[in-house]
Amino acid sequence: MRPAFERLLRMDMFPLAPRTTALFGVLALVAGLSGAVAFREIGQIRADQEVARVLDERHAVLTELNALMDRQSIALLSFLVTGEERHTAAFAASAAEMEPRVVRLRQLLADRPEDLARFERMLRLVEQWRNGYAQRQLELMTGFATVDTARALEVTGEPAALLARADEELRELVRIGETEKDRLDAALRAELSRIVVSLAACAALTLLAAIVAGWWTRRFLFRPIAEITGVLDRLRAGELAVAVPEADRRDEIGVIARAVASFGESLMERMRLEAEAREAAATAAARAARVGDLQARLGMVVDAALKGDFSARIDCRYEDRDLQELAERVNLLVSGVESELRDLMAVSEALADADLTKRLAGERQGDFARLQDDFNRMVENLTSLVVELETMASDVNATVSEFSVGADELAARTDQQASSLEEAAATTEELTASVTQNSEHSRQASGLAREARELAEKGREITAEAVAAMIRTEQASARMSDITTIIQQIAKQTRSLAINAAVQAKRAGEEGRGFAVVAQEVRMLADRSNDAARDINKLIANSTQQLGECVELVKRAGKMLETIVTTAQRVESTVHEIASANAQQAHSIKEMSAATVHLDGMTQKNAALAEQSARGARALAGRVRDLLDRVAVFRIDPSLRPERRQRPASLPAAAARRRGPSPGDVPPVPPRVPPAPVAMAAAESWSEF
Amino acid sequence: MQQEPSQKALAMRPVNLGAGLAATAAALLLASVANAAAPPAPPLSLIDARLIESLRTILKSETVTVTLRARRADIGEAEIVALDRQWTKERSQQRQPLVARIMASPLSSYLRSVEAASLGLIGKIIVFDRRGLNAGLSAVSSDYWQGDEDKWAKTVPVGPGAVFVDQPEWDPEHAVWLVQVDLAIPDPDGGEPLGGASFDVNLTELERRHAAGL
Repeated sequence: MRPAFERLLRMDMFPLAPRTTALFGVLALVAGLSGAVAFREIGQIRADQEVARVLDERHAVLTELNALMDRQSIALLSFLVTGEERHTAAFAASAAEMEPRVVRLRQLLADRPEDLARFERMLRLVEQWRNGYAQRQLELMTGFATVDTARALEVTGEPAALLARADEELRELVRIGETEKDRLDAALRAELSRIVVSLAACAALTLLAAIVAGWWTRRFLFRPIAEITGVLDRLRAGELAVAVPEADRRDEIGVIARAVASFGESLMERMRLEAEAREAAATAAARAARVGDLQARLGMVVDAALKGDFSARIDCRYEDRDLQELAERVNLLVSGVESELRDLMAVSEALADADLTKRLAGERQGDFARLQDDFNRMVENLTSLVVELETMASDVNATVSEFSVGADELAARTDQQASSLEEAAATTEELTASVTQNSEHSRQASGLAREARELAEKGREITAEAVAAMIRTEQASARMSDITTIIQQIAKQTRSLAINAAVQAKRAGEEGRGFAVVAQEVRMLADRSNDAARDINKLIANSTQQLGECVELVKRAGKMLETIVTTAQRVESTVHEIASANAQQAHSIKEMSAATVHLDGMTQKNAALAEQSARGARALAGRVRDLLDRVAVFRIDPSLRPERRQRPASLPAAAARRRGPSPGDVPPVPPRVPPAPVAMAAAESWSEF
Repeated sequence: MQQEPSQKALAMRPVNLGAGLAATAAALLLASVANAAAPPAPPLSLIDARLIESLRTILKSETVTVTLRARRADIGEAEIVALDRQWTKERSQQRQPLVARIMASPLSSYLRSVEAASLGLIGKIIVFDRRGLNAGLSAVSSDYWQGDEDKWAKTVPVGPGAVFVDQPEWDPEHAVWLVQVDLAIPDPDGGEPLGGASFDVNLTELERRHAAGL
């Protein structure tokens, strides 16, 4: 290979990483391509296989349907020949068995409209046969007289023709399915041979890519690295004057080659410097041995001091003056620290035994002086703290006792308050009941008032009607008066006529005598009529006058009733107001009752809280006494110890007022002047609980 | 079966119902020639409307209608002749596929049951299609095609209501007078007759039944 072409092929203008990435990328691309091709082909084959499976099932179901149709036909014919029931049963069974297969086949043919139409046509023919002939024949076969008709129907050949047509449709469906299957098989075979070819091509391509990649990697990566490694091996072996190959490359391998070249140069420089250093090291070694000895001894002393043993010393003499002085000073330091520690330990042991009377004595300097001062101050502070603690505990004890008494009283009073509130609540409830009753009564009164008003209104209406009736009567009387006037006129005319008649009768002489008597009678009758009419007129006038008075009276009664209605209305509204006021009152009282009950609940809670605080106070008293006992352990200057205070006498009395003993109750404790016996007594009294 | 030839000879002469009585004397004469022991023939007036109606009722069976409707109408003359010849030939043979087929038909079965149920009143019954070919028989006939006989000629072409009563005939074997009554078989849906039927009615038995007040 020519060098120029080789340089071009090694592509050292790019770094190694993108080149190797590109290489593997190409390999992955080829492999992925092969996989995709295989996947696609296999997918196609699987799809075809699914279609083939559907076709197979279709063929199987069609064959079954054909057999079932044959079985039905045979069963019917057998029944026509033999008349035996088992054939009708076989017929019905075959017909029933067809159903699920028909359903399944419809599903299988769903995406083939032509085949589905053919299948439906076939089903219609079968239905026609079954409903038009078979069922009828089965029925006719059940009667002796109609058996021949059933058979005659078969002899016509029409049912057979229908079945033959159905059978032809079914066979056609089978034929179509088989053709489809053959076509599919051919397609599958073609696909298989294609997949073999394409997979082989993919495999060859992948192999070629792998070989090229392998060759390239070996030629342009591994071989230069191996050459550079060889140079490094020779450098290690000490062969310094070697030429480094591939140094002209522009990629990482070129960098490595150049680095190896400069490494070789620096290696030569270092070997020169190492020879000079070896001489200087020999002189330093002798002094280092002596220093090492002192270091070891010093280490032992310091280690002992660190472990708390200050008795160790450096007991060796050194020729070197500096080293000797260092050893002596270290010894001095260790002995000084030892004596100070002894003094401090004496005082702190006393402190540990609760003896606060010891102090650090003597004069010290620097940090030792500060340590002395701090330590002494600490003991002083501790002493004053103990004193203060005792004083405060005594004070707290007294206060707690007082507080305990107060809390007990509070609890008792709260109890009383609660019972008073309970009574108040009961009273309020009674009040509520009575107000509710009042309200009910007012509502009833309101009803009664309304009824009274309605009655009065009705009376008023009746009065008005009475007045109208009387006025009508008055008018009737006037008409009657007119009528009697007319009667009087008639009577007058009759009288004059009678007189006239009597005159005429007189003129007639003897013949008119009888008539004269009649005329006389008529005149008398007319007179009596006139009198009667006058009497009636008088009576009518009389009654009209009385009627007028009546009307006046009734009108007054009407006015009275009007007044009654108004009054009744006022009464009703007043009673209604009373009723609503009552309701308002009842509501207010109910709210009051609820408030009282709430107050009662709060008071109960207060009582519980008061009791709890009393119990807390007693517990606090006990803890304070405990504290006092603990502080009494410290031994201090007796002149500094405070007087213990007397416990107030009211505490037991307060405790006695409690409803019963409780765990927090504390019996009285006598005052304790000598601390130790008091502590003992306290322990005894506490042990009772 | 034995009376077939004489019946044929009778059928050669066209006789109608109107001239029945006139022909009776001739038939009687002929019958007395055939068998001197024959009693006088009962009157044909015994074949009354009631009897005809009962015969019609027999033909109203669906078995008859269904069978006749299924018969081919387009059958050719040559084929008819060939079938008739085959029938005649099969009568003298062991193998009788055509005779067996017709005799085994449901209609034949029905007609046999009718004959049996009549207890001797009705003899052989032949039902033929509108072309005169046998569709069903209660007993085997001498020929397959009735289109050349009065059985067909006096019924099917006449119309759905046609009735033809032949001359009485003495059956020396059973010593009874028989008369052949032929009827057209109407289509229940109307139109042309579906075919015809021929009944051998036992006149002697009919007379006996009349005398017994049946």
